[in-house]
This record gives sequence, structure tokens and C-alpha cells, in this order.
Amino acid sequence: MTPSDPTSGRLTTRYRARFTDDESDHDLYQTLDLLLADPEGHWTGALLARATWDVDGTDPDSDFYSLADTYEHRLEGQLYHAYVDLAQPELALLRLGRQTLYETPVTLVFDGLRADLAPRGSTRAQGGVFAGIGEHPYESSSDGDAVLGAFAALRPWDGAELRLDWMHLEDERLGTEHEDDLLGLVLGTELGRREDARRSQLETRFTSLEGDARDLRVSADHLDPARGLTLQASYYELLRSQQDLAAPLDPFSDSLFELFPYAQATLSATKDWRSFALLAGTDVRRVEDEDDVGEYNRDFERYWLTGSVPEVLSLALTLTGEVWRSDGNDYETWGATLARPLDGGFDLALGSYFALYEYDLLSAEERDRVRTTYLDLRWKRTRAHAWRLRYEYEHDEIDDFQEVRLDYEWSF
Amino acid sequence: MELLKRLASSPIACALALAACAGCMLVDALGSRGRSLVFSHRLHCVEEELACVSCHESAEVEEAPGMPAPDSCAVCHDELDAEKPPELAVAALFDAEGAYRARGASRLEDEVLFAHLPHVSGVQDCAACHRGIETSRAVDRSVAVDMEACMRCHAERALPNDCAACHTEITRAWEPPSHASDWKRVHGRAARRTDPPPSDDCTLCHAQASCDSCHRVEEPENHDAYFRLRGHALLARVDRDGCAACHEPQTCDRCHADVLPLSHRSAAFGGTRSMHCLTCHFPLQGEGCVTCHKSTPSHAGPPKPDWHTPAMDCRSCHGSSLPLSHVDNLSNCNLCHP
Repeated sequence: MTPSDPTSGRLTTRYRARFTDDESDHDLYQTLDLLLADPEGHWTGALLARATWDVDGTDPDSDFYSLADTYEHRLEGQLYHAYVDLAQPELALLRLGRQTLYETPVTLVFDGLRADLAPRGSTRAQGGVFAGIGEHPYESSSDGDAVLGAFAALRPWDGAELRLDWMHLEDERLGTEHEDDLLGLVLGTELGRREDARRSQLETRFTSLEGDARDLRVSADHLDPARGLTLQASYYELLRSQQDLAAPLDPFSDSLFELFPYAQATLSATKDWRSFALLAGTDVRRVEDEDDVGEYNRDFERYWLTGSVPEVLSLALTLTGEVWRSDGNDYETWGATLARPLDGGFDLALGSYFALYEYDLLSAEERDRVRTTYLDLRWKRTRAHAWRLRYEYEHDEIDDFQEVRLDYEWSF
Repeated sequence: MELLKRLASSPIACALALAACAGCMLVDALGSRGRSLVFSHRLHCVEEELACVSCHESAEVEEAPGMPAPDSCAVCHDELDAEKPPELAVAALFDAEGAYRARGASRLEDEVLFAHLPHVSGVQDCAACHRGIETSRAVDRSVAVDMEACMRCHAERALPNDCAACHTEITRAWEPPSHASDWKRVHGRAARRTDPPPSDDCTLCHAQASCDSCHRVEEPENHDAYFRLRGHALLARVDRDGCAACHEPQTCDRCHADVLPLSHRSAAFGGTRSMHCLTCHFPLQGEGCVTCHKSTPSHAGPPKPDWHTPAMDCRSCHGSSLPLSHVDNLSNCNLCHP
């Protein structure tokens, strides 16, 4: 929500307990999502932070060891964003602090400054700059990390957007310095818009890394809320191999090596008939050169289908399935959920899903099955206070896991 | 082209593509049935230099916007239309009751609070709100004043711009029609627009900070115990781009610096000359040992110089007196180093 009060936000407390026959793990989380506004209108601010306390500690050999346990202390904090927006007449935005950029060709988190000029003229011409230190939550030091960038944008015609980005990224990790310049170009336009919010859109995104074409994405959407219809199609092509790049650009090449050029097409459709809704889609990826297909560069096809019936004996039923096919390294999930709102602000959901992981290791196909059943109870006591209790039982090839999670959310 | 060929051979992809194409064509066919009313403001305002109130006579004195009546047009058009076919005569602009057919073009929803007269007296310039109408050649939604114009003008004049200033039903808690169907999956593209019109501007209701609340704090539901312990490896090798939505390169090392893969935890596992690697990873250079064993770069590629040939006897130079730390004791070098 945009801040209309001087102080607003949410404080969420979570207790999570996990068990197997041999082990247990208890964690506490406190998340603060805060918006501040100066009553005089000179500034607004936002903060999102989480403290995690591993109550009983976790050993690296434990089945419960995870990314959150790789930090030095059992009590750790994570600052997702903390910034102040200062109101300036000539600027659409002047932001200082830790912030995330979603509009740029790659999403960027950094500590620094962002200034966007207010749009001018009939074409709404606009520009902006940002600079700071790149923020990498899983890196121990920010030495050698820097970001710098600028953008220019305008509306060449009604319903269209043209945007040019330049990003300079520096990142030092594992003793290696990476320095990359990325150019991005976006051209998007509405193909039609009608009174009932029905619209069609077409968008092209192109980026160039160090002067060489990097990737291209063309996507089209059609939204028709009145008919409950959504259609999407996109085509993406990675035009050159990617390796050893600054953190936001790097394709995990330290671990997964070079990412070779590939093309990927996605199609999806949603139709809501009020008494029944269906979502279906597919992704198809092909590595450009068959000789490049290997352990970490794979062709795959992915299909997903979700059907939901909002009222079956006063219950909402959702059935969903997702299948990945990739030369023996296949993955599929199938699930069902029954949900029902109850009196007094309660919502109850009971669900189960099954996942099958298939590994093709030296032609000895291995199939790991995971069955999960859960019960989810939510209680919105008032607008300000909400509770959630979730129990999950997971049976797989490794062990039987149980998880209990209790959330309390205070909105103010 | 190869991708297109393979796509074409996938029946589900073909069916979806056909459904998408048919859907769009049907939608456009249905949408094109409503046609704009042909009335040229350009002819009247620019070429004939008529003032707005020449036709919209009551606009400056009555609450209603003062849409023209047949009698007003008749002053000039009785003579002008004498020899025109009926569909081109000015009478075609009005229905049987004499009401202007295109009045719906600028009609506002019932829940919108708007009074025309205070705006006329306050702004005193029709073109300030009705931008571009003087050069339009048809009366349709393109000549209507949109929310962006309203908000821009309110901002310039330091007038209230919150929802309640103009809307009786729309509040920040109200969900626009676009949010009804599968919006959670498709909102990203709309949210990344640089300068969207107000009707598409997420920040009207959501702080930009709310993106982080979902995208950076909560784990996806499929990150269960099995996924954390083993399943993530399969999805990372199939589609690493999916991981990159939230994770950066350091993520892998962060855990794997401390944690052995499940398959490596057995007491029987280990030893530089045991068969442990080749049991699962063969050939080595094509597999993932080097992901963690970065100190064994020879596994990443063939170390053999170009001038070596398969016919050479490796043992004549390498390890002629001592066994080397290879599982086959150099009995079949060419198997891994072709």
C-alpha cells in the first residue's frame, strides 16, 4: 500500500518447527515491512527487514541445514530494502538507500542513489541515473562491488513505451573481478484497448553485453477480464554464451559452467467460466547447437495445467499438474487442494501433491518420489490481526518430514 | 528455425498456439463491431474556426456539458445537407428522440464524481482537458478525457488526487478487472513499465516496496525438504534461469562449501583412487565434479597436449614406476582423455 498515514506496515512473526524421527529444528522469524510518510509531504520511506533466529542451531550434516544456516551466527538479520524518497519538483523520484530496480534489463539490488527526471512534453520524455554498491545477500563482502546506470524513456505514440538502459556492473567474488556493461532496449505497445479493460500488448526486449548482442525477448499478451481470458506468448533467445560475469548477470557459471545459446518459446492460456477455470501452458527450450547440450545446458519441454472449480459442495477444488521433460532428467508434480471459507474470518485448506524427480545417472535411471500433505488454517480476526497455522507432512526417499508453522501478522 | 520445427512437432504446443491465434482473431472480430461516429471536430474548429460554445451552447452556463442539439446544427446544416444522402446528413448524428448518438463516448462510470461546470469556470480553457479534440475526425473513446489528464491537472494545481477525490466505489482495496484472471502470473510485465498511464500504474495502490515482500522474502512452495536436499540440483541443471529469479552465483558455494551431496556422505565413499566418481559421473569432464572439486581442473577437460595420439603408450612417460592417482592406474587413458 502507498503510505497515506505517517506510519503503516506489517509486522509478521513466524515460528517454524521441523521434525524427522531422528532430528528436529526450531526457527523464529520476525519480518518488518514498514512505510513512512512525512505529513508535510517532503519525503516517504520504506523498510523491509527480517531477523532469523535458529533457536537450536543446525549442523551442516543435518537434513535441515539450508542457506539461512550458512551465516556465522544463529541470530541473523537480512535487510531487503531501506530507502527514503525525497520530494523534488523537477524529479519524479529521488531515492536514497538500499533499493531494488525492477525496470532495468536485470533486476538489481544496491545501496545508493536513484534519480528519475519527471516526464516532459507530449511524448513524456524521461531520464534517470542510479549509482551505488551492489548488494549480494549471499556474499560475505561488498568489496569491489559497484553499480552505475542510466536510462532514457518516452512514449513514441499513445500506449507505447520506448526505453534505453545502460548498466555498468562491477562484482568481485571468489578473488576474481568482473566488470560488465549492459545496454538494454525495450519497445512495447498496446495493440488495442477497450472500455471493458480488454487489451492486447506486444513487447520486445533486447540487450547487448560489452557491445555484443546478448539476448532478445518478444512477448505478446491479450487480457480480457470480462471474459476471464488471458493469452500469452513469448519467444526468448540467448544469442551468445554467458560465463564469468558480474553477479546479477552471471548464469551460476562458477558451479554450472558456461551457459550456451538457446531459444525458448512459451505459450499459456487462462479461461475462467466462473463455474470452472482452466490454466494451461507450455515452455519449449532448445540449445542452439546440439554439440553444446550437456549436463548443465539442456533441451526441455515443460507443460502445466491447472483446473479449479470454485464450488463443489461449498468447497473450492483445485487440481494442478506440471511436467518437465529433459532427456531423462525429468520432473513432474501433481496436486489437489480443497479450500473452504468458514464463519468468523477463518479459511481452511487441505491439500496434497506428489512430485517425481527422475535422474538419468550413467543410464541408471533413478526415480525419487515426494508426497506432501498439508493443512492450512488462516484466521483474519480483524483488519489488523491475522493468524495462520500450517501443518505439512512430507514423505520422500530420504526421510519423513513434518513441519508446523505458525504466523501472526499485525497490520498497522 | 530448429526450435520452430520442434515446436511444430509438439501436439500440445500446436494446440495452444492455435487456441491463442483463434482467440485473438475472435476477440478482434467481436471488438471491431462497434464503429466510431463520423464527426470532424477539425472541420468545425480548425477549418470553419467555430468556437466550442457555438455548438456546445450551454457548456459555460449549465451543469450538463452542453452536447449539441439538432436545432443548433440545423442553423448551418439545413442548407448544407439539402443534397446529401441521409447517412451523411447531420441528422444521422442523432437518434429518434433527438439525442446525440455519440454521447457515450465520454460517458463516465456512475461511481465517478464529476461536475462539468466547475471545471469550465475553474480551468477556462476547453483544450486544457479536451486535448487534441479540435483536430479529431471521429467521436470515440480517443477524444474522451482520461484519468491521466485529470491526475496531471490536479497535480499541477495542487488539488486532491487520491481515489476518493473522484471515485465513490474505487478505493485502494478495490481490485481492477485485470486482476481477476491469472493476474499473479502475468503482472510482471505491467509492473516494469517506466511511465504507465494512471489506470495502469501499480503505485496508485501498491508501494513499490511491496514487490520485495513477495519476491525476496518468501520461498516458493516447491522448496520443500526434498527440494532443499536434492531436488534443486535437477532443476538447476535443467533450467538455471528459474533459479536466477531469486538467487545469485554465490548461492551454490554458500551451501556447498559446508555441505556434501547426499550421495557423498556414506562412510564407504571417498579416496582419490576409488571408483566413487566414475560410478555416477562419466565421463568426468562432462559432469559436475568440478562444481565442488575446483582444485582438480583436469576433470574439466582433457589435459592431453595436441601432439598426443591415441596410439601412444601413456605409461612409457607417465607413471612408469609409480601408480598415479587415477582409478584405472593409467590402463585406459584414452577412455577419458580421447
